[in-house]
Amino acid sequence: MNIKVLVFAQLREHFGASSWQTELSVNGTLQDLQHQMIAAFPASEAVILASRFAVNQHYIQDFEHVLQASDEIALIPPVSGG
Amino acid sequence: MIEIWTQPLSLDAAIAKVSAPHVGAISTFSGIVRNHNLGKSVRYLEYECYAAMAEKEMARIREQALQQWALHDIAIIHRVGRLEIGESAVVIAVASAHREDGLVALKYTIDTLKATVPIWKKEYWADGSMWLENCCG
Repeated sequence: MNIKVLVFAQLREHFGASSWQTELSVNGTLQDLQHQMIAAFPASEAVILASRFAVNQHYIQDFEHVLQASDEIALIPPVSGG
Repeated sequence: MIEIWTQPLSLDAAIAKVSAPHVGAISTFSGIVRNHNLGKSVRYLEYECYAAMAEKEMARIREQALQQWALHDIAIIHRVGRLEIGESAVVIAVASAHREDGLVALKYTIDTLKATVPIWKKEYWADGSMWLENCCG
């Protein structure tokens, strides 16, 4: 299934776009997605590993979380609001 | 009241949103862009956000604080875009009957906002720039 990941701040700059698309197998997890992102952007490994995933605008800490094609997925680098 | 603005913030707007006749204390916080950070002279900041989730996260923090302490209301306004030195990046107003609950809830609100809300700032110096990361999150 086709998955789109929203990215922000330094990730957006590293990726050269505000989102990134990939093919993930059905029943693919956040762990699978994280591995694919690191493989695609090895220079960004540290910031990817320091980031948190959000699915449908909620943080998901469980990397075994299974993704759906309809999910709104975001990779949230360390925040600095306020 | 939870809002994200691109124009200069107004603490008065936040205060007006939470005022009521039975309110005895309005505790406020305004986060200001300062001219130095980590030994560098700062020219300006640029903020960006994941707007839909940032609003949800701020609303969740507000709801948690309203459940945890005896409060009348909380208003949070965060700014995004380019901010100059001395401008306000975030304003919070907490209205309560008594000051103790308001002051504790105010600290909880800004501390939690800085740890979880998907907003980022990039600092610009004369000779470069860097995305920042809030400590102690």
